[in-house]
Amino acid sequence: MITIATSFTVLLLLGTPIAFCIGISALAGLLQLGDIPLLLLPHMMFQGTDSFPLLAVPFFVLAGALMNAGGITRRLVDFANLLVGHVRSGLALVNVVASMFFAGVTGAAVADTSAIGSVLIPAMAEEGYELDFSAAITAASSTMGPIIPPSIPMIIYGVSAEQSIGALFLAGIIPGLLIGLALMAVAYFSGDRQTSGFSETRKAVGWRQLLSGGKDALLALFMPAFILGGILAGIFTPTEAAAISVLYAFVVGRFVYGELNLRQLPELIKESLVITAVIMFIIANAAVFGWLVAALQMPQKVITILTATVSSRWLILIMINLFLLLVGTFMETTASLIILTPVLLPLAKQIGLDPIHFGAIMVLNLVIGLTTPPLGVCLFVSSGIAGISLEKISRAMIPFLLAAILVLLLVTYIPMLSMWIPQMYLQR
Amino acid sequence: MLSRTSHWLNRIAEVLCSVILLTMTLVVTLQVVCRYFLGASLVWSEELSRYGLVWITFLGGSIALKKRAHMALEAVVDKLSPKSRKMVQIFTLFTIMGFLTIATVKGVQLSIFNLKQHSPAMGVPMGVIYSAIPTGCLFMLVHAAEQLVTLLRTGPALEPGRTG
Repeated sequence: MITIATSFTVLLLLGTPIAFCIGISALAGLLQLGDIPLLLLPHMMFQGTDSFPLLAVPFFVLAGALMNAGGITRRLVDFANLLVGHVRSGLALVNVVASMFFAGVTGAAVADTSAIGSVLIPAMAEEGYELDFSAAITAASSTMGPIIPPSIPMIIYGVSAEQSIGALFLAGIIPGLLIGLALMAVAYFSGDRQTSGFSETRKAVGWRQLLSGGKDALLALFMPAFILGGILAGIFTPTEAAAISVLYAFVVGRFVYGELNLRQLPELIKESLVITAVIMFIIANAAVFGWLVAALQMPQKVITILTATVSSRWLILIMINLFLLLVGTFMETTASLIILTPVLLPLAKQIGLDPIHFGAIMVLNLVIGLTTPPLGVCLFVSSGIAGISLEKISRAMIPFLLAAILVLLLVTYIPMLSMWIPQMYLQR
Repeated sequence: MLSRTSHWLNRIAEVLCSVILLTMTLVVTLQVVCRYFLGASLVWSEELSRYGLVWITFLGGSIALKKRAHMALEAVVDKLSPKSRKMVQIFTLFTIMGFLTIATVKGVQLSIFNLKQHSPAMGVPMGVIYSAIPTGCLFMLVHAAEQLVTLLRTGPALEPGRTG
């Protein structure tokens, strides 16, 4: 146990890719256990990746890349602009709303940051917003990407916890919308100081304009409804929905909007392959790690220690929240989910949490970690686009982060927020 | 020589993975079409695409290693002086290569053990499917060796790549 933890921490700090940190420390653990044949290493790697639900990962990644290249992202931003652009601190709100829409077509936070950020950060700068503020709201709003369905982290949690991915998708809807509302509230009040005079010149658009803009974005907005509807109606599995959404994105981008160039295709595929392989290779290595965790009976030990020292359910939940926030800032989401779900889920069940509810808590927690200074990945991407230092974006990030954490606490302690929609569906 | 091998292995991996990804997309879509419109389920489609994913994991993992796109915590190492950063990178590359060597050897053994066993739906020898692991790990080993040699030959510390 100590060998595994030490080798993992040392390798991680030395900048070794996380997948290898996990694989190497698991191998060290296997060697230390002694009489275990090392054939287990490739065998578990295979077991971990040979999964039909996980197939949804490359499909959703590719669909997102196609939508970006096919002009769907731009139309979502345009439509968001028509909706809320004229309000006080309009473009900041546009940023959040566009992310919300975009969350419906992608399942990853970093994709959201770069897609929305590259369009909106320059536009916000032109209207006089401070760069740190624009970069911060872009990073903050991209947390909705993996919470509003479809969601790659929810798929990975679902596979690891053996829970219905459809139900998990549904559980993310309200928490995702709450994050959006909370961020908009912060932007509305704090953005005002920066843009006095700018938004007054913009006027609300008429119904006709709104309708025509909506029509333009309709094909993109239809995506999440189609995915969720199809899964819930039992027409297809999440994986099949993901494959169909690849074709859908291709057809819309190529034939309806006519913006997708066939020559871009090999590059888009390669890009998606790399993103997929990074996630999947972590999963492969984490599967070996997971075997060790089970063999060493870690979940049982954690439960025994925790329930013996802490009696309050609320306190345990707070501890889980803090722990996951911390992990989320320096660990990749996939790795955290695959390694920690088997350890924490039994604990959550022990204190009476529904696995679907716990999935929403875990994903929300880890995703907020992606935007937490000083190490959150989304911060790096966003400050990179804006060309500002990490310190600046971190300072501007604080109010948004507090808003997101407030939502996290609500979701943690009010099960209905995540459970209401799945239960409605399951009772049917 | 090493860098050229690494280059060509990467090209092969890119082409193979692209073909696999496209095939998987079409096969899974076809599966829905067959079930709903033709009323007949395909028996082999799920297996084929699952095994495709395994191949993408390991061959694609080698593309990611070549591009230095594997996610890592770089904040600590970035604080070091260029010289010590290079030392650290040499050390981690050695560790990674040790791990990959074991994974490759054990992967070959696992594949050989399972040559006589066949997959339930398509009847392909499982050894062929397991061989994704040693193949991908071997490709990664070559790329890592190439990066190590570049590093040892006076090269400055490697810059991280970007995912996507």
